[in-house]
Amino acid sequence: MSDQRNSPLKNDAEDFVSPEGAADAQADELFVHGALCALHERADGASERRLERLNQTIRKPAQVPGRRIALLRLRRLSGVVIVLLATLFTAWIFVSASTNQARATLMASIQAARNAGDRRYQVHILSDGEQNVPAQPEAVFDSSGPNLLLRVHAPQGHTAIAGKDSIGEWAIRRQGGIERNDPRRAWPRWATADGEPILADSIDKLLEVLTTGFELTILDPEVVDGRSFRRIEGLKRDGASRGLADRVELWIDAETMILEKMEMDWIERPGQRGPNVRPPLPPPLSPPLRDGPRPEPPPPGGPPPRGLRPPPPLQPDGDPNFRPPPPHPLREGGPNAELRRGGIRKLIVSRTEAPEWPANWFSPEAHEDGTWGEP
Amino acid sequence: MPQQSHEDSLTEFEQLARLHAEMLSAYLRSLLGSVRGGLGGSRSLLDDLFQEVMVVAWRRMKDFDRSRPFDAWLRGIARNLVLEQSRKKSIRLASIDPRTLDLVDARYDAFAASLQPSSTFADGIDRLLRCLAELPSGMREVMELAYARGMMLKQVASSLGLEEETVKKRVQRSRGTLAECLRKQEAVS
Repeated sequence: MSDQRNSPLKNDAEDFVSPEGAADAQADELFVHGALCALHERADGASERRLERLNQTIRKPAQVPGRRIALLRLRRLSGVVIVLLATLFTAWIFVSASTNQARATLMASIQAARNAGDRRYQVHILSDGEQNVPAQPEAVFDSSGPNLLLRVHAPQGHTAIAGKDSIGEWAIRRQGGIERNDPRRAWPRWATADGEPILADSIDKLLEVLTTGFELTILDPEVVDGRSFRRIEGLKRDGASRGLADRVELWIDAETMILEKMEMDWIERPGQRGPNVRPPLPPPLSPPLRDGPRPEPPPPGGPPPRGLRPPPPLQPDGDPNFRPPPPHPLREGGPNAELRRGGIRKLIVSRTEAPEWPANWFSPEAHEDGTWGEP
Repeated sequence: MPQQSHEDSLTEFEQLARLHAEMLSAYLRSLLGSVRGGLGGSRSLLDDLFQEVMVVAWRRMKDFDRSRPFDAWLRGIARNLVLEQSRKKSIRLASIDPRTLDLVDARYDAFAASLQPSSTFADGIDRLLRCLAELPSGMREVMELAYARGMMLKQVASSLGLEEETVKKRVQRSRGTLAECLRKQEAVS
């Protein structure tokens, strides 16, 4: 809290304006503060973004299920056959309308997310052997426009940090230093689906994955603390990415269409549970991240490329020259390195208030010390 | 008087919203600058409040008396909404004197009155750039780091080798000086 109080943009009134000043002097300060903030916000197009979001909201078409009219007409007809047909038709309409509405809601949420401002999401994980979701978030995900920052409490006790800024994706090496060549290895496995990071591109990307990987239906809306939320349930499609959850439920703010909460559930099945129990990824194809010579390319006519054969054993028998590869600066001990605490049963992504972060918050240099660090 | 079509009403409202967007953002910042705790400076809170105020305004547009200024009406909605949220404890206002809030409103009214008929709030606050340029270098430097670069007071203090308390006081004094400068410019215009 003391850090928050230090920001010129978020102090208590008695700190924020001169406490000894008269009311009109304080009003002057508050006016200038507002005007200065508005002036300096111009550079990042904040007003345009807000207006775009507003236009989407007020131009959102009213949701009148037109098919209900057809259903009402059908009800006027009599006879057992008609009743039966009407029943079947009702069922089809219900499923179809619900699915379409769910997809439309999700698409609207994706669109709203692209124009939303700074957002922060916390990730809580319930693992095997745990009864309750830990109060402490496993990770925190910040986004502002195209900029991203993911901070993860790695099981080995350190903080894994990765993000994206105007230059591109980056990660902080565990031994220190910034990795820009192959930063995706820093992403925790729960944030990926078959090796493809689904959080790496943002929460919006994750929502896009949902539209293709899940059968979506709309659930009854919920009102919490006076706020109305649209709810969507998704059940994994056959053949969808193996790492995806079996079931997902979303809460979308009905007013802003911004994703407020998402729960992913992995249903227990023998031999398969959650993204953490998938086999390890094959060794990286990219050059080693540490200084040193690059490996020789495979000879022509040699073995098939990696990915079509099992990864080589770590210590092949009878090879006196074998030396284990150097530890990967990101994966070694990182969140991808091993099972965290067994399989994941539930993953909860929930929106929380984004603090006012410093201008360099999404730059790797601001996190190079590898500490959690809060603005 | 012929009734406006829905599309015409939307277009009219969008134009008004565009004209007054920057004023509303500034006004919300002025109110949130007095918010206790960590929410005051949050941009997402500001975005949400902006959205809420504008949506309420759009819904109540039929009640808007067109003989009165739209910006003052919008600020009225914003103030009520912020106070209502503060009562619900979704945001926490400091124990600020309601009179100060009235005076903040009065400052916005006076500023709007000083503008040329064809000018907007956004045009008007460009005057601040001139006022900033006239600040003594020590003040200007602090304001540049705190507002333009978004640094925290602690960071400003560290980068300038100053005590944090000194930086805080300097920011407060600078805001006062800027307000005075703006007032002079308003009088001239």
